[in-house]
Amino acid sequence: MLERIADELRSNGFAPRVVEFANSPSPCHAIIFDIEVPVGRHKDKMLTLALSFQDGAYPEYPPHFVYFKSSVDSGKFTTHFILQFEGVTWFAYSLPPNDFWDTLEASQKNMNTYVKRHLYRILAEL
Amino acid sequence: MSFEAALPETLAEKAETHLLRQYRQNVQQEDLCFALWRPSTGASRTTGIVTELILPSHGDRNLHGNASFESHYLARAARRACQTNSGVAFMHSHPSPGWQAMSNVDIVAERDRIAPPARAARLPLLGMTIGTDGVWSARFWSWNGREYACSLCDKVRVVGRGIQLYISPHYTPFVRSARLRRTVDTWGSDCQAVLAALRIGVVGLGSVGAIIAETLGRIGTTNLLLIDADRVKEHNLDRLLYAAATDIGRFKVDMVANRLRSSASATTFRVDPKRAWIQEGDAYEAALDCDVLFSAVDRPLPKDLLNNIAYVHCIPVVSGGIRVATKPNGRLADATWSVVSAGPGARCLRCDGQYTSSEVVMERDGSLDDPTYVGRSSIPAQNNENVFPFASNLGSLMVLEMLRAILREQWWPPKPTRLHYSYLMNRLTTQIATCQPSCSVTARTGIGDHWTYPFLDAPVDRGERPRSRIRRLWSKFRKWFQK
Repeated sequence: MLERIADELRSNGFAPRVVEFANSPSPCHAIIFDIEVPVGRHKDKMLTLALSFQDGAYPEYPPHFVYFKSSVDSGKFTTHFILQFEGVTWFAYSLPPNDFWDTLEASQKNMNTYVKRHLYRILAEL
Repeated sequence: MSFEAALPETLAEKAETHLLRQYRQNVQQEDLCFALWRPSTGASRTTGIVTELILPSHGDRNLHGNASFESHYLARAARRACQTNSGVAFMHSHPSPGWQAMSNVDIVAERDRIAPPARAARLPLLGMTIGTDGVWSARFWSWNGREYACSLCDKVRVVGRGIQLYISPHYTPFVRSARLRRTVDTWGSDCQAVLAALRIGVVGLGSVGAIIAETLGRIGTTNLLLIDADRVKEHNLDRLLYAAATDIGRFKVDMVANRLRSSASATTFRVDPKRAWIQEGDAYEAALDCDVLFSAVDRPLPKDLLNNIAYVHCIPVVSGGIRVATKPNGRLADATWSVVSAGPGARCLRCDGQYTSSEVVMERDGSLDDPTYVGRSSIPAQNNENVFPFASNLGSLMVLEMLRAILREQWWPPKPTRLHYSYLMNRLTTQIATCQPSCSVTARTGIGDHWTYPFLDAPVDRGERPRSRIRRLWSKFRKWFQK
């Protein structure tokens, strides 16, 4: 499953790596990658993000925790928890694509849709 | 281990049209076809779910009063079964009505001619016979190391707009008793026999679930499964049927099961309380032994699991929920409750908007319970306001929905996918809707064990023995003595 997610991100021009967030409240696998903010206050800035996944759940169940390497939030979102990983502080926000994921065709439930329809709108609000 | 067979209604109708075509034109001619089936394994029952018909083409079978098939037709069915990880099912019609016994010719055909090549699919042969009145009977032929042994099915259920249950004469028959006289007079002994043969699961034994269990016990059901790991708390006492102050701390399932044993109307009555959440492996397996499930839970994850069971394992689920809106001054603004029946041919709970997949993953890792988060998200906060009359009305409506599916006749209007009651408007409305074309839950209809729910938990031992009457009396006496 994680390889599939990583492949989907690679095919969209990202360089993901799979890690294990062992010390998060519920230990899980995560995928870390850099993303350039396309619009908003942080336009053109490069951010490092992580997405965590429940085993065996993707793509039917989307990722909902988005981790930022530093607290860049303008106050619109609530930090769910803070995590130390590789000597860096990660801020976890629970931001599921609740409004559209279940309406997608099975073939559209992929990281391309997740990034373009969901992640970019979150980045625009930061 | 008991055995059953299940068919989605659309598939059953197609098979029936093919197999009984000649009889319906008053021609005494049997017919046959092959099909594919998938296993659905519960704690004590294996169900063969028929998923695909392989109808004969020209030259595949010969009709001569009886019917026979050519070996290339069987080979085609076995090949298709291997390709799709399914088992082979063989269906044929008989010239008489009712549950069908096997003739010697039938036994030789299924055991000696079809079962050996069908074993290539690594699943037993499912043999099915249909009588002229559309009643299905079924059995499995499996290799026991020495021979192909026959395991007769207790029941065959057809699930769709209604629930049709065909019961083996060997299965515990319905016993008419004076207690159930008025009930049987209302809908007849055939319907009562179906009710008595159903194994029904109630998931969630809160205010609504307890009403459902009580109602089912009163109408003469004989076999109930109750699933809930919650205990009675003081704030439950205003709504929870049977609950008294002395029950605080007891498992809800134990309390309800004990009371049901004395209030149930059936001559033989069995109730299995399961102190577990439905997503725990043993409770999930026990639920797969049921013919109908009631969802009286309000959390997204158990709703999602039950929704999947309804389609993947062809076990209809009747789901209900209450939403109470209060004004800032604490007074009641409105209360609404709705009933949705999920299962093959019906709209699924997720497409109905009862939960989303995002809420399921959030519940899984605990963020759904964070009030600071929920208050700021697009996901509405769970509210637990409720009163006994709301819960009893909803519980009653849910049982009526199940009864409607069982009593249903062809001329009845289409079954609504949702009943919605508004207390403020004093209005019950119905809605007929279908799933979104992209629905992944309905796409899994009938695949049974080939799909595993990703969020199943290991069983948890909550092995506390239920308190006996003597222990409760002793406890009361000690409290009184200490005072």
